[in-house]
Amino acid sequence: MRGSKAVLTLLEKEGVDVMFGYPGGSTLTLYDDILTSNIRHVLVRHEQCAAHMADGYARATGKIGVCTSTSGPGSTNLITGVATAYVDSSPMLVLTGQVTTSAIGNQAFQEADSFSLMMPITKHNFRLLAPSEIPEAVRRGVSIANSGRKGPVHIDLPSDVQKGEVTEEEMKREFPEPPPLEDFHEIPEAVKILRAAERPLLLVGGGIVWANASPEVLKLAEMLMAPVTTTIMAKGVIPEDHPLSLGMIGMHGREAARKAFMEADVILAVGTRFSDRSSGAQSELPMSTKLIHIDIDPGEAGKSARTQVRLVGDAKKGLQMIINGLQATKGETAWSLRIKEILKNCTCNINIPSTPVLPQFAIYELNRTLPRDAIVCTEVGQNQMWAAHFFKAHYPRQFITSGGFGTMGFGFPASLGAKVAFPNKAVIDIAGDGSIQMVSHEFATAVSEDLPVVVCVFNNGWLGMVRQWQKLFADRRYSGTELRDNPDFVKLAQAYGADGVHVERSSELQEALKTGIDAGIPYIIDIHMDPEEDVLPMIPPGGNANAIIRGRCTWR
Amino acid sequence: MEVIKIVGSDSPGLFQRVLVELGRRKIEIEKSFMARGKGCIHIIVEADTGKMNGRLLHALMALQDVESAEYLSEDYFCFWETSPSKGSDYIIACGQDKDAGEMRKTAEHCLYKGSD
Repeated sequence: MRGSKAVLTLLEKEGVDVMFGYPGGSTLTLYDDILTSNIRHVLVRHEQCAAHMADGYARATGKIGVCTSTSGPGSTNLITGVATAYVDSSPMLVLTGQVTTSAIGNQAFQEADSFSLMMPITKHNFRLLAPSEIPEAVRRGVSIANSGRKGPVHIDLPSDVQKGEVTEEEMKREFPEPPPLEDFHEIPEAVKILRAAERPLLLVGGGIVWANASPEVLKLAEMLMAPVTTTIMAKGVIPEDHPLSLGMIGMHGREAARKAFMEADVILAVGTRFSDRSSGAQSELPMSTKLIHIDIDPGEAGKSARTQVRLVGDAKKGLQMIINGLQATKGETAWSLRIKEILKNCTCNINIPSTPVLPQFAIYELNRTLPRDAIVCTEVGQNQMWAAHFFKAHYPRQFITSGGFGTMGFGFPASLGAKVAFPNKAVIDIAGDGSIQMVSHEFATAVSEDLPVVVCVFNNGWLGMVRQWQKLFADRRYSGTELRDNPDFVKLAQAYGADGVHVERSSELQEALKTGIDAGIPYIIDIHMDPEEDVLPMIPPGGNANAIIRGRCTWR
Repeated sequence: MEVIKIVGSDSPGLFQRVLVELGRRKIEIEKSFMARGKGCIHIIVEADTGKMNGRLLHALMALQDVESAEYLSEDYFCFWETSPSKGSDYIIACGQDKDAGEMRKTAEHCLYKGSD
């Protein structure tokens, strides 16, 4: 069969049932073969969004997301989306067309060195120079993307390689996977430390979600009576209304989480890379604090200078080994009572009806109105942090956000990817008026592909997060942050065949949400908000726990 | 200054991938050498690895198709001969005894020499 058909056939065998893309001159053959493939193709309106949709699909399902573009500008347009997936370790297969092999290097029409451009933002990449290389690239590509620390894999497909023949023998070739890198020999030491711990705490990151290790986290937490704090990537790993859940840690995290983090005598960190935004507080930890770190990436495990026990491997397996080693379960302890006290001391009253609507109240209304299994995506900025702090996630993969790369314009296309995966779940995108304008053209995709998501625009007329930093740390010298002459977002959505409503008062919000969820078409809720409302609490950059700005949250 | 030897299977872009990995970690490369043959790629890098010393090998090992990465603590010589008519070949040798067989030969002709 010809090369492009071989690509699609191999993808089908790997269980791929959808790909997000945009055609072009160098992918004509591939698109011709899509017509006879079982893979659904979702036509986007900009390649960046194809990558975000594939990423959203991967984050919502745990399965690999596939996106495709043509050569040159098509592949460079993908880059932001691929980098977003790379930083958050999301498994993705990125197929780009390329000019014919004889033209590579000649600055041919729509030629870019996609192989080199993608290299620093992918886990691995292939440039195929012969059709016979296709089976290895696709099969190994899917395997690499899905194994170890997951991530995007790129395959550059010159147009003549797509047209060339792949033999039956080549299609049957096997490509053995190398054994996973693993080092659990210090598990007994970890068990010993945890057994002796008086104030154990679990710090869990996105690695737990990718490893499907939430049940183990919950079991271990309950065995140790240890509170659990998550990074933004792990929201929902344990239900955030569970008595041992401290919520999110970090710059805009819960003060309770930070307090417990500082008071713990043993921290078991799993699937987290100690980013500056989430665990900056580690330098403030008392010297006596013991840190056990499990990570599948040997380059991340033991990253914190405080690490006493470094374990490399799959989080689920590592946690199971610790659970088996511990055996005994603790009852109520002085530490668990202290955690109750900490949680009681840290309060945020966000049920504050007002005009204009308070963003915290909007999240309160979402918590109250959304079905418990709804998927919530966010853009990046204030909207993201309000959602991360106040939205109560109940299960892993429920809260989808660009944590590491912080890509504005991620949430809406990601929500479409999630909706493709779960058409029967309510899917919400929490957006800002800045970020939605980066990707609003995808309403065309949402309408034409029948993907009825609800976009809640937190519209304050500013690039709010930058404005907040200019307000707090640059003496209110606002520069380049006011979004003058925003369009009418409802009319914009309607122009694409979607619908929407403006919300001026808190009292209108619940009905708007219910209408949006039941609309059956993409729906935008344009919520007018006060630009003076900041995302708080916040620990200023470089500040310690004492420098926290609490805002509407209090500590008793 | 450290000298690192990386050996991987012969896949396109491995040398570039190693340099990118070092580059994104702010590691300045003083010298680098690459040779491929018999299905393998040998890469020798002399660089100031700074604070990355501890985990750098893990990061390099995590790259696809890298089979080993190690710091070299001994003298290390690479000899690479090439000719438009005769083709090319390379020898990589290491050891403390500079006068021993292959070491001597490579030392005499070396195009690359480590920090020692």
